[in-house]
Amino acid sequence: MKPRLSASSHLALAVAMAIAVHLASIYLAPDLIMRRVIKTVASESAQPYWPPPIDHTQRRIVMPSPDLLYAVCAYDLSQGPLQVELAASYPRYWSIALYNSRSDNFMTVSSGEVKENPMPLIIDESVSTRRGLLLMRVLTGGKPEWLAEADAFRRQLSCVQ
Amino acid sequence: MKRGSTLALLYLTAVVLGLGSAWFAVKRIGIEGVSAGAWRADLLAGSADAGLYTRARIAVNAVLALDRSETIYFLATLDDTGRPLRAECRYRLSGVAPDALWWSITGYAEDNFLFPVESGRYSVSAESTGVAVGESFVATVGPGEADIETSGSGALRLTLRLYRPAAALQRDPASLDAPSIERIGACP
Repeated sequence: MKPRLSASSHLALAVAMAIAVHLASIYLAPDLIMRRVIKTVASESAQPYWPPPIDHTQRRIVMPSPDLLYAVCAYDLSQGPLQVELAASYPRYWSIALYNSRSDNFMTVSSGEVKENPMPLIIDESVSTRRGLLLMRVLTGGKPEWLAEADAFRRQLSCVQ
Repeated sequence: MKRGSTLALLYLTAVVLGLGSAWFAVKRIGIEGVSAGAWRADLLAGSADAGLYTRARIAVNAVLALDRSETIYFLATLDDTGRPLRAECRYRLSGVAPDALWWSITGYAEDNFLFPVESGRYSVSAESTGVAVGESFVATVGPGEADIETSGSGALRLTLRLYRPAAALQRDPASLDAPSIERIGACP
């Protein structure tokens, strides 16, 4: 017959469990949130995915900027390296940011830097986790007259595996 | 039987406490980092150097943030006098355009999404204010006719984004001459 744990032992175990659940939740939150974001983007039929201009009906990702147009690619490096190309230029601010599955922004290329960081970008498992996300931001400043140009520019992005 | 139920309740309480305290840590505890006026910036947003709690807070409240060399995000949840910002109140933002390639201030509801307003007045920026770096600007925030329109009631969060901030600001974000946030009139 197994000896019963004392009440104080159970209490100590419960405290340890509360701390473990707390730390596990904090540790896993970025992975779980990124997994959901990557899955949502990957479910779109085409990559890159070009979300519509941001307004209050966009409720997939918190704190969207209404002054930007976005393009997104989800990748899985088990299918080979990701090759990112962007042929056109744009007279205002833009950036291409890469995030790993822990939500770290491990690489960014932005307007003004392209001469030093020429396209194409090659992303492999030496720089990223197996799954990750590319997010392109193109400034529209909320101005309708910039929107068409920004939209045409973001559609020059290609993510090939 | 009674002992078994008591133990089950004890361990269930432990799980709930663990989850609840984690939620509190990421949603209710203020961000780490530096302050400039009523604004606060987490300098490790998007960084691989971010600690456990910073990483979780950013993932929950501002996933896909950029590294500080590219963008600095300042968040305000209080006005200049320390009162919590409220969607049903009116505010006056005033200051000088920060030294960055581009900047914007956007209003978010308590759930970190844009306010459901048909006007589309979600933000003010270098473009909408029409001022150059170092020049003064004034903007209003609140329900109805305001530069940043809010709706409903509850917490209001203002985010100041500095894209490609000047090198001095990257080195010392606390040196930002941050916009002041003054409440106008009484809240309903």
